[in-house]
Amino acid sequence: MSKFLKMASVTQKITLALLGIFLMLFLLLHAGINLCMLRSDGGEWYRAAAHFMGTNYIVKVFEVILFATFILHILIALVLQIQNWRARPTRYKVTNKSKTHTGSKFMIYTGILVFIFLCLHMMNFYFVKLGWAEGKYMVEAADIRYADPASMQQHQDKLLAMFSNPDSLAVNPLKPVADNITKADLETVFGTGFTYYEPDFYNIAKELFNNPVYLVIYLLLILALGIHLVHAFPSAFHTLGMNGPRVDKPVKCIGALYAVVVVLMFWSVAVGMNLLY
Amino acid sequence: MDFTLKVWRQEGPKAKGRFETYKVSNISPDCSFLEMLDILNESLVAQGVEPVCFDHDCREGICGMCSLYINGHPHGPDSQVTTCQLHMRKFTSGETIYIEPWRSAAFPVIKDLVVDRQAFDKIIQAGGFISATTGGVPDGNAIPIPKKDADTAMDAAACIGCGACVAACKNASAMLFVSAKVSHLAHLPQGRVEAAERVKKMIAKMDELGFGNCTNTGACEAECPKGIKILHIAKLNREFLKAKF
Repeated sequence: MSKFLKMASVTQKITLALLGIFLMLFLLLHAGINLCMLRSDGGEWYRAAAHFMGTNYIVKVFEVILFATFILHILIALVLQIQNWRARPTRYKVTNKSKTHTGSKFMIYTGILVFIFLCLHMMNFYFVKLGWAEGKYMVEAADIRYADPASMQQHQDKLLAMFSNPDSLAVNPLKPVADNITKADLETVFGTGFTYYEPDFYNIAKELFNNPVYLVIYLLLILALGIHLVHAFPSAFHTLGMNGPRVDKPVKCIGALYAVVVVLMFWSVAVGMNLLY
Repeated sequence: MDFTLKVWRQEGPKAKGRFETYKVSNISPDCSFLEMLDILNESLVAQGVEPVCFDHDCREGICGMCSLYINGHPHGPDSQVTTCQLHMRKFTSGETIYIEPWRSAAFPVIKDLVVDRQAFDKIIQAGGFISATTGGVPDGNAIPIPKKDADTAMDAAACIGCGACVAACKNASAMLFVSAKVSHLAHLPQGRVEAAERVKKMIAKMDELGFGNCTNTGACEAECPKGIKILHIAKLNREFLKAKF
């Protein structure tokens, strides 16, 4: 941490910007997957997308990178912000607005709101996936991939110890070991007559969006994210030095457009799920 | 014109400051802000009160010595002028004017409205110069410099080092000042050769002195009396990246 603090301010800012750009790409992907929910197929596409994101190896690697990115982005932002507060120990009595970039003054506050949202989101969805929180809705897993007979063999005793009663798999099917094995493998261990489940994120989301209190909190926190993004986009490019008289306006316009598109994508899914399903 | 002034008074660096209220009357609209303070000080001296300390020198807007955070703006409400070039006609008669010193951990108050801006000198000493030997005086056109680069360097060189950028910045960051110096020299062939070392050293010194970090807010650009653009900060970031790799 101390080495981290000794880094030049501009190095920290450049790192913050790069991490931010990665997070901005992730947001587009997430919003895109959310849009699948609006298709009137009872959540088929969305469940398929969620299953893919939950089981694909490449996605799993990116998941680790994503978490590291979130943590680093938050840490660096906090370090920089604390330095900024300390740089002006005495406040002005009178301050007036000068022509500045909207949103830039609230980055730490919108950032904190986004962090709160992230915690809420993790509790509602990610912890269910990990098996830390009980999923209210489960759906039969269409396809459990990554069958590996050797690891199956290796886990056999563990599996048997874990699930003396095969029916318990239906109750809590998300123990980590169950992740690497196929339905067929399970059947060789336990025999037939049980079902493998995974969390039904479609119905979890549907229920949340139909709760008016959750919906309002969700819309407001997404708005905070939008305000964060309006400044984040051009600011990241500016910090990376990608700015000049010719690109100044286009970068700001694309940044505003990006923020509006992301907010509208998340909002439309939330409101759509509330009104349509 | 008549004004009520709320002036920050502070005996010394360690003393606790406070706002004092003074009234000035019969001020000419053509009076500069500093001349108005001169008139105030004359009346204070006549009353046997310690006059208000403030920084000033050339009074032509080119030395960078005057400061003052006036009604929530460094160098007052007018755009692209220094306090010495700010005229009282920009205010309305009867107005209450708050006058505060620059507020920054790196610019401690010495007395009243005077702050110690040596931090800027230290940043310049860290690398804001050219030490490459350039020989005797060559013909003016011996080293061709593209007009665009010459113009950009000139725009950056307009920085008078007054510290309004630090005063205006919500983070008290010195990035506009440092970027103006870095960009100015990096655009010219004589400065180019030491550009990498310069940017690293100046940023290291800036960090060490306790200035805040740039959040690309743009308050510095809006308040700079010389209209220095934050595009120079992007240039500084580019120079820093280049220096690193």
